[in-house]
Amino acid sequence: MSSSSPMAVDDLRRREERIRLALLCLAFSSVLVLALIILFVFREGVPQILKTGIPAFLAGSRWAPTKGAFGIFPMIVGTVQVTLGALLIGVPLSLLSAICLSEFASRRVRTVMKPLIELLSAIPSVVFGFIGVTVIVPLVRETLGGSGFSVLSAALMLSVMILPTVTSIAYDALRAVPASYREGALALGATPWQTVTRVVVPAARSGLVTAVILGMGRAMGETMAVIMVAGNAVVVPTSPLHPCRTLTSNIALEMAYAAGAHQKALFATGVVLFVMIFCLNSLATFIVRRR
Amino acid sequence: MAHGLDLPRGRGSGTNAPVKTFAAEARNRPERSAGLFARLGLVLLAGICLAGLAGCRSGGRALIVAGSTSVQPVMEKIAGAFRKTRPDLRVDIEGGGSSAGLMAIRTKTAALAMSSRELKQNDPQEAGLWRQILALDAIAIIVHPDNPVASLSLSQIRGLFAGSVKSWKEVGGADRPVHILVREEGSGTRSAFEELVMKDGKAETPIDDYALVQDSSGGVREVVRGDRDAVGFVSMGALNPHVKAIAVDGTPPTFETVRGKRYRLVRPFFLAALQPPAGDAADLVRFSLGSEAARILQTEGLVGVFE
Amino acid sequence: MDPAVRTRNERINRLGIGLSYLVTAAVGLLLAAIVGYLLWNGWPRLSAAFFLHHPEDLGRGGGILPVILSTVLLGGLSLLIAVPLGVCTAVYLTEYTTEGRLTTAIRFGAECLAGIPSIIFGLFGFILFVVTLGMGWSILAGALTLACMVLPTIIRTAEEAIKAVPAGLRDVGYSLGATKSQVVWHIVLPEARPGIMTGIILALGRALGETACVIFTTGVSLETPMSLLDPGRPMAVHFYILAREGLSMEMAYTTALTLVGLILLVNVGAAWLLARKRSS
Repeated sequence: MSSSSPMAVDDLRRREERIRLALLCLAFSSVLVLALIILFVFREGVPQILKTGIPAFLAGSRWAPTKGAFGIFPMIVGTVQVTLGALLIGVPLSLLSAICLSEFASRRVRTVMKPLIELLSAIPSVVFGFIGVTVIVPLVRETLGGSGFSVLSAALMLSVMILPTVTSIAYDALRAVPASYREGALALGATPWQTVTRVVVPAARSGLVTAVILGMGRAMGETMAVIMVAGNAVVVPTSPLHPCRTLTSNIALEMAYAAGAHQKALFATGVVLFVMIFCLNSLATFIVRRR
Repeated sequence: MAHGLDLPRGRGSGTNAPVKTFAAEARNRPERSAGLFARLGLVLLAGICLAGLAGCRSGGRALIVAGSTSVQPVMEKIAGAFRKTRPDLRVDIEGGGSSAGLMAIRTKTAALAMSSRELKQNDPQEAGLWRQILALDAIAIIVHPDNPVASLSLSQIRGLFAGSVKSWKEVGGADRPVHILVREEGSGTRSAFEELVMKDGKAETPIDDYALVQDSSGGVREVVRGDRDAVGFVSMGALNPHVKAIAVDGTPPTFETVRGKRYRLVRPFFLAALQPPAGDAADLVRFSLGSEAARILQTEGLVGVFE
Repeated sequence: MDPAVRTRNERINRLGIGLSYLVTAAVGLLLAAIVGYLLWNGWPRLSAAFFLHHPEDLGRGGGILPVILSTVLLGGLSLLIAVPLGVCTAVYLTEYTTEGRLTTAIRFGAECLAGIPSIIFGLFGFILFVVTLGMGWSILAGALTLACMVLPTIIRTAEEAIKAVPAGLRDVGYSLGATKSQVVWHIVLPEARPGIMTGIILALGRALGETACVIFTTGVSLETPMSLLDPGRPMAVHFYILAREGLSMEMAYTTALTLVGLILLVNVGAAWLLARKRSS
């Protein structure tokens, strides 16, 4: 260091080293938080799972914690159905609009749509939930029958909720594909649509997978809005019009009044949810890496 | 220049980056750079210190009451009236549920708990607490105002909630499916309902698995309000003109029928504390049992016990 | 090329582009409808009094002053904790180390954290901050929980922003004899600022829109929080309670509108600040 600092090179080096160490410690904050969460949630929940027995807890279909029945199979099925339903409806819409905005749309359309999509992610999820109750549920009830509180309603609502997230991340991924790829494809005589489907989308694959995974995480983790529209009955839904309960809503619904083993069982539900999401994340990391 | 060679890996391909500006900046103020990481750290530290400082609660004394969401609305009103007599005191009413409230007094997070269920004497968390009945609440069976059914017997209600009555026609209504709404497992209102309605002598009929579950009286009421085929049960305090309360065995839930113990589905609301309350908490308990509180309880549809 | 194939390709091309436009239009309309719905329902009650008065009758009347205060405190404090942590992590990951087992561990930790549902953060915050550390339901406990929750968002966006800074800029710094920390502070971070800001805004939106984990940690008290250890009720929770208990839909939508407006304001404010900084 020459210009204005009188410090010796050795001092500087030592200081730089201290800064590096401090940053390293701070960088571990996220790992620390994760470890704390695992510690606290698992300490409450795991003993209850072991007490009930892993197969009985995961595959049991009766949930009456005040009467000693702890089976969360209906909730696992409910979570999977609602999440898949939301992805099935939401992802194609998001990807197509991301493609349109990034590849075909004019600047004007883009300057209107982008902020609108970002604004939507600022709306609290409970607002979506309430719109779900006042719009989607009665619509499903009047047109398709049943009570309206159903897997279908929850999936529809979640698909709208994940639109902003998936669209904007997919858009960023598509924009990150170098223009030369497109130019090359077009120069070879491909139509714009072929360019997009055969060149741009494959090139952006890892970003698109991230977008879908994040959307899935959002759909799976959503709590309050799902409580409002899913009906929360503890049954294995065999029709999209049946009510269902997800793992997250099981926790939020009953936490308030739960005591003793019941409370522990809710923490155990959290453990199962955690493990499911952990597996999904690992899978996603694996897929992205394999590229 | 120890770090001159320690270049970061090349990334990105910046095009029109304003190199000149930053080079100039780096040249102009190199002496300030070192403390800057410290500054980031300082912000963090400041946050923590601020939090620590705030540890000494400002703004006078505070009393926290936590617990049942069924009791919470009326307690907020009582506390509001109480605060007019004690402007120096801050009263926070927290929901969270009966169990959360009882847990909160255990951990001294709250001074008083509101409970809509009897304390569990076999649970070490709840045994041996001080408790006091605050008010009597009726459990009202509610339907949509357009539903022609106005009165049901106890066994008809049991049939509806057990799922054996599939159509309103069977109990004197239109030929439409029944949508059942219940509270979540663990709720005080639900356990009281199971006790008072679903139990016939010793045998308890389980509630239908396909029953929709909501986690507050308000939630149940809002769903019933929007669905003409729905039936649910709520605390009498949650009744409003948008839903219709069914007469049980000919007796509608009203202030008089509950006070006279003629309405059958009645359960108490409790206040609980770690020890018999003293000081501010005792004042609030005394106020809650007084005549002004009784008036508030009545406007909220509940029946005070000390009149 | 075979002309038949070419006409077929052309047709598929037109169909695909048309479809994507159609979907985009539908999505745009849907999103606009939601914003419109919020405006339509919330606008009539919006007034200065709504911001400046205390709620009356459980929130059926009056204003939302204590709720706004809780929201601002909660959002501000959680960012104050999460932003330095997140940015430092990102700086370490991108500038101070090469890819290895350590970075994999840190990144995996952050990614797992990002996937954890807010309700689990709520359970965790309730057990650790509210009960074990004895903070009670408080702004502080809520802010700490929210900070944990938004940390991965900030790490991820800050990392992306820092990575996008051209390597050439760093070389200029080193060639002038700057140390690594000087390069990071004077060159990399200012250049990455817009990206980091975007992340902060995203995190703020997520923190303020959160209900599940806040109910368990900050509480639902309608009193004005006078210190960070007082409980409070942020806007999203206020909306939830008003709407769900059927207290007042008008007040609920007005609250939601205020919240979206607040986030928008922060967004615009940040953009303006950045623009000013750039031009000076």
